[in-house]
Amino acid sequence: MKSDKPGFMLTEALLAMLILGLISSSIFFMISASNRNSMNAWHSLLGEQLCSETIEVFRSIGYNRLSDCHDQYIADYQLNEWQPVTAASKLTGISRPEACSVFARKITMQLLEKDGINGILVKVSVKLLKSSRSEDNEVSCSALLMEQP
Amino acid sequence: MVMVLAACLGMLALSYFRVATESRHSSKWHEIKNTAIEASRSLQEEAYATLIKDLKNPKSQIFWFLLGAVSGARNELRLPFARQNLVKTLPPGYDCDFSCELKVISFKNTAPEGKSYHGKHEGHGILAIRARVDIFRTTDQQRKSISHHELEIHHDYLVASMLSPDQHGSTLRKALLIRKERGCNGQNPVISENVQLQILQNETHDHLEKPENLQVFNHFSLWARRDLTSDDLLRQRIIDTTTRTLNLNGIYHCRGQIVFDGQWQIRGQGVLIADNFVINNSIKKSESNALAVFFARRGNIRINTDKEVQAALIAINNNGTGSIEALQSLNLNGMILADSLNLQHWKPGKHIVVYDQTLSDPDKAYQISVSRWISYLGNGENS
Repeated sequence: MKSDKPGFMLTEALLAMLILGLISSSIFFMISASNRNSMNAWHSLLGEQLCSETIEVFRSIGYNRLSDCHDQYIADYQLNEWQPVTAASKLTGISRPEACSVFARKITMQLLEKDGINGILVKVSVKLLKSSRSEDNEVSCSALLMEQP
Repeated sequence: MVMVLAACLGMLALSYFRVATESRHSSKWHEIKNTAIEASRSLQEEAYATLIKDLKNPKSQIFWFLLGAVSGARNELRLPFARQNLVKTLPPGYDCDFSCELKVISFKNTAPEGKSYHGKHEGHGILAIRARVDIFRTTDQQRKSISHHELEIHHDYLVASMLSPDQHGSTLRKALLIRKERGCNGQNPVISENVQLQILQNETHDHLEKPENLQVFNHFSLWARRDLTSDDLLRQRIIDTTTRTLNLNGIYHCRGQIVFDGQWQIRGQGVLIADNFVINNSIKKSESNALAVFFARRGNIRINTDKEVQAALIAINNNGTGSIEALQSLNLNGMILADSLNLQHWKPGKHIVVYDQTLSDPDKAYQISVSRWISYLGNGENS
């Protein structure tokens, strides 16, 4: 027996499924990208904090002690090489969020002089230890630390 | 219907693209803002270092600016180190402009207790160091301002004469000043049978109050550093044992006794105040306008050498017991101000005191001291 009620044609149903699929995949894509952006922002924030922390500690150590130091380590900070960041440092007493342990940090120092005024250019870079796009997640910060009389 | 849905999807995608782009821009802006803050701190550090260095040179522009400055006076500070190196702290594709100026916020020529200072430039005030950084991004020959930051820091500062001037000029304007006109046994305090004290002074000054009323360096608010220990003097390199130099740039008060063993040289102009002093060898100026005043506030100054000592020696206190004792033939190029000389403790023989003319002109003996402590810190983007 044939029904009198009109129904969807197969093409209509397929088109509706296609549109629904497109919309839902777009939404999933957006949610995923939004999460990724949020995570990147969180990592950028942590990275900036790790850079600032190093600059602050080096500023408090001062030019005289930094310029006299010929070791690879200054107060638990390794120079010229990527060093994994730990959540806590026994030597400096600094404690950091657990999430900081996914980062590595590199510090370089360069002695500078001009007209009898001495200073040190400190460059700090922080990046994720495991990242497919490490260049996007690397945060850098530099500062000039001056010799104080 | 399909068209409407497609349009909605397109708008949604476009909006998301814009949000993502803004997010990336704000992240970069934050990084550049941090860079501007660090740059302004670096400028402040260089400005302070330049300030302290230049204030040790009485011929420098900054010294002359602060010597005659009144409240509100401004002076631009040139920072060659930052001019050369600040751009190295910026990410590639960015450059910056910066400026730094000194401003006298306030300056008073009366002591906190209300008495006026006698030196015409003497006083204390608040000095502001203002640093501003503007960061630009250059793309396709366009220079676009990205971020700017301003940092203002206040320090207290003092302008003090090292000759404790009164209304007539330097109080140290005679080669020998004794506050007690009679010794303890009623004898003249500068005449003794065995001791011959030879005083050489080119000019005489009539304007001198009675020495018994004489007070020197009694404005404590002009003392650059107070209550130091002997270790502090070494740590702050006021007494530098490696170069055997006394680096004097103000009035420094130390608790306890100061002993000078070995030969020393004086750099700068300043006053060392301690309970008592022992000088066991020569003390000489490193340059003609150097000046040292040793002020024993509680005890004596004992000189145990026949080598030349180029300093003004002051031993006075409220009890009237301050005295100078020369255990060997005195060869002093400076002056003596004491309650008494206690010549019975001096080595019999000839002693010479030659007046040092640098002690006569208070206008050439000003020192400016800027405190290390920050009394105010202002941070922000406002110009």
